[in-house]
Amino acid sequence: MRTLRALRIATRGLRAHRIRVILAVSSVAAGVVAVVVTGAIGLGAKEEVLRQTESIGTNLLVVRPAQVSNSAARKNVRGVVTSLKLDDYQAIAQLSRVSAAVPGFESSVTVKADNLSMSAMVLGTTAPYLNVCSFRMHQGRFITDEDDISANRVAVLGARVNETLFGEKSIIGQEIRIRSIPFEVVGVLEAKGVLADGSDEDDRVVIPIRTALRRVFNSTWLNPVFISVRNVAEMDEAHSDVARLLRERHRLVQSDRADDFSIQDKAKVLAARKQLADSLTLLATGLAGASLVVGGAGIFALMLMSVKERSAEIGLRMAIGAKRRDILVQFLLEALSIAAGGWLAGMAMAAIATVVIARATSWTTSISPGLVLITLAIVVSSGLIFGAYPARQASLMPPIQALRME
Amino acid sequence: MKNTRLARHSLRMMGRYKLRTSFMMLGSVIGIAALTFVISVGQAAQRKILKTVGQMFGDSGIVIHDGGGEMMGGPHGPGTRLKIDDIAALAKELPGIEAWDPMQTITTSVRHGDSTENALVRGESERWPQVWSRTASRGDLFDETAVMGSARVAIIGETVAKELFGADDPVGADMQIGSVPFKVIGILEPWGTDPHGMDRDNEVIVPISTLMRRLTNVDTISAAKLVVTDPARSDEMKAEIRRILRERHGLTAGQPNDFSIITATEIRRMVGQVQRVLFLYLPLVAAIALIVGGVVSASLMLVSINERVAEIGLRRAIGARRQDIRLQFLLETTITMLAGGLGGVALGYVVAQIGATRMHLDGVNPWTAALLGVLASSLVGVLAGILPALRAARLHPAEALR
Amino acid sequence: MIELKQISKTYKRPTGEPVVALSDVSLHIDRGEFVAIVGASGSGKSTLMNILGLLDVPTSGQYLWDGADVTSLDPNRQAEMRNKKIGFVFQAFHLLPRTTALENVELPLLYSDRRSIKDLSRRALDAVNLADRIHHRPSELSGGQQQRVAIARALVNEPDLLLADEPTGNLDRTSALEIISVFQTLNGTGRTIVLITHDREIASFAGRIVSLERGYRVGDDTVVRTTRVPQEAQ
Repeated sequence: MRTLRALRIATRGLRAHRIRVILAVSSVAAGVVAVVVTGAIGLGAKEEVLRQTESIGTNLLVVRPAQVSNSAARKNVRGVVTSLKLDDYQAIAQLSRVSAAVPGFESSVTVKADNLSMSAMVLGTTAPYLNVCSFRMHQGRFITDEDDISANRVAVLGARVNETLFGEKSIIGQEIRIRSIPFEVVGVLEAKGVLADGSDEDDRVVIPIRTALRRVFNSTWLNPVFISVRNVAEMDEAHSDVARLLRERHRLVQSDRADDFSIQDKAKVLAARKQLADSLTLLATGLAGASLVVGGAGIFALMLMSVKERSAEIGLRMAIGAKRRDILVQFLLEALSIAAGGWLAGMAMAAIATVVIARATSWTTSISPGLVLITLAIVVSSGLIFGAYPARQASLMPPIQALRME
Repeated sequence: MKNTRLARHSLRMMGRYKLRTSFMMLGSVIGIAALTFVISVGQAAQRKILKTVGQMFGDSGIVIHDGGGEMMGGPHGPGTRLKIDDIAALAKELPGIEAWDPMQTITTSVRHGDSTENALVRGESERWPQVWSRTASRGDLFDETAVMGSARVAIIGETVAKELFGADDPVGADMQIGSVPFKVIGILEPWGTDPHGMDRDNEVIVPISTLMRRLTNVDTISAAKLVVTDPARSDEMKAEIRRILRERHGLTAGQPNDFSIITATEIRRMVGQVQRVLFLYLPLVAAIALIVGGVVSASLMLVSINERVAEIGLRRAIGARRQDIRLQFLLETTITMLAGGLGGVALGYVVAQIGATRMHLDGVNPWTAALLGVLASSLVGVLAGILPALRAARLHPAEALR
Repeated sequence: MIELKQISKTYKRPTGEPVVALSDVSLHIDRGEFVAIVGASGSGKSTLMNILGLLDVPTSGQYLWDGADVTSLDPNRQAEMRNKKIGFVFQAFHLLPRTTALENVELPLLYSDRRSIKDLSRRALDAVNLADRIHHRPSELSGGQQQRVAIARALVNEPDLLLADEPTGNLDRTSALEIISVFQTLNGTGRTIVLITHDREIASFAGRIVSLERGYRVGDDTVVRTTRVPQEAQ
């Protein structure tokens, strides 16, 4: 009689069991999706934010000639060494860690237009300067390689220079005079505005480097050279690469002399960027962690429930002859199947979701292998703990006790 | 009367089945806790990140430079230059200026013992660290009394420290600026290069009064920076500043400004972009937390309900009408969701506070999350709790009992 | 009291095929009768009980109760009738697990408008000799005792009809006889009882046996000499 009753209980339980399996699997899948997707988009958001900050010059290196220690006042602006040359910057541009290098010669000069004059920083440089120093054009065009080769007298005005000298007038084609040399204005840069340290770059007038060296300043050396590094993470290595290159070219290695140049990055900006990256990582981790808890809780709860209710089934099976080990193996396999099935389904959905989000936001989302492994570990361990462990407990009980537990 | 009786009975039953009731609540507790955490921490983190980004990169500053365009060959203006009083007047007249700092500079030689080099010496007020977002990495800053007394104290940059002091600790030592003796009280935080390639660590900061009286002999300043409370109003403020300064300098129409005003356009654009990213990211994560919480909640409820199909059949067999079943489950689900919701908000708030402390955030506000959570859990409760129960109630009791 | 006229019930299997559970069954039950409905499994006896108990509706035919047609009552009225007029006893007892005997017996009353619930329930439990176990939970009672609680529950609303579906199916012989004895006693006080069973020996304790085979009524006999429960088992 008891067996009959147990059989009925088991049959009834089995029907509910089917639904419970589906629910358990979907909970596992949901948990996996939560963790993986929040991790992936967290990464994507962080990369995007860091990318936005590049325009502040996080990957910029500036090479300057060294100061001459005894200030025997030379005719030059600061009393600097004159060994930094055009072919130096071309060599630097060839380095693998460098994505672009641009020459410069900059000096503060009086610039005149019509009957207005102002003091501006006149910078001679080449076409890639626009990208390397993250400028955009407001009007007209930037200087080109042709301008440089021909040492044309064309100038691009910074926003502040334009505002002061020309106001609202259209200035393309107008003339300005740099050290009494007439130049044609071909473009205006978009304003960058003041930066954190109070400095600004809108006070420049940009002319081709050869025009600057030959016609305006009568110089053969550069000050400074702007370098954009390919990968912000390798700033220090790039720094060393450039230093090594210059020491070789300036024959400093043999005589073991000090550098006749200095290379600097924007330390403060880099530090700020790192702080920002850390904040974002912390935030993303926190949020992924929250998802983990939710998903994990669901997994735990359902597995726990699904086993608890089956004590009677365990007792029944033992009553009709199953050995302890059979019970254990059966439940272990069931728990692992739920875990594996849920994990696979979850990963598949997570992959799809990640792709969809990546496409919609154009962030670089990526599923980190770490997350994949963590979720797998959690799912499998919860399957073992909450699947097999109670089964083992139940299988150790006398069958009749298991049958009685309702 | 009957309904109250049934209600009390339902409650009593819920109490008997503690484990099952807890499981039903567990779903909403965890789901809402996670949602509360995500939303409140997310919002606070977002605020902090944007504020930090703004501060780091300087989005709330307006810089005024002395000197603009000059008319050649025309009548010269009154020849006024930028003065400290100009800035003080701006700060008084215009609302929305949080702090300001005047600046004057000279390039001169600095010396310690046998070492000497040229550096940029900046004279600033005691408020310069807040205004220029730069501070001393070691040693002290100078205060108001130092400025009022034209004290001969200096904070030197790392390049100056290296050139003049080598490996020795400069703090507390003496140095000469020009021919005037100073005491080094601090080392400037490293900054790196500026856009013109100038080494910002090759600087010395002294009180502006000291510079103007003892190192040079001018009563004008070369620049000043204002920190505004609302960066979005920068352009308006710029127009106002232009108006006031032109008035103070007696400039007539036709005469160009003898100053320049620069606002933080690029930075604001960047901050706006960062903001857009965060505004997208957080709702996404919140949505995921919501969906997952919902699925888990629903699963737990469905499992609980499923077990009770036989119970529903029995109740109907002994005379429960559909609305009696409906009432019972409505009550159970509502209480579960409410209790779960409240518990979830409380738990989420506690965890959010912990998270906020670890991430150095403040102002964690759980109300949006709480509202969303309650709405979400109500929806889940209806879909996963009541509807299945009603479906079971609609079965012929014979099927339910089978 | 009860009149079933040509009741048929057809089910649809999940695959779509129809299964005929009952075919053209007619039955008449008077007040105070003790009827046993017998048949092998698959004979349709459970279906017949479900229809009798308004737990299910027939596909065709008529169900009259005291002359009134209750074949297609709306669910609420059905519920009302199940509450007031019919009492069920199931093979699996169907007691609420973590609930005391007293609370289990109260259950039908909760769904009625009656007052003094506790008193009525106590009296019902008294009538089945469980006055000393009213605060016990099902897990603390033997099978026979649990079924007696179920009977008390079925009776608490003073129904016209007591419907028992294999009430002794989950009990050992002694407990089974106990329960049958209770039924006989109840019938002795005028209660109309319909008992479903596959066991002809159990059926012999009733006053009338209706036989079903594959959905058809194949027999309707008055029991000549109703078996009496042995004294020791009472």
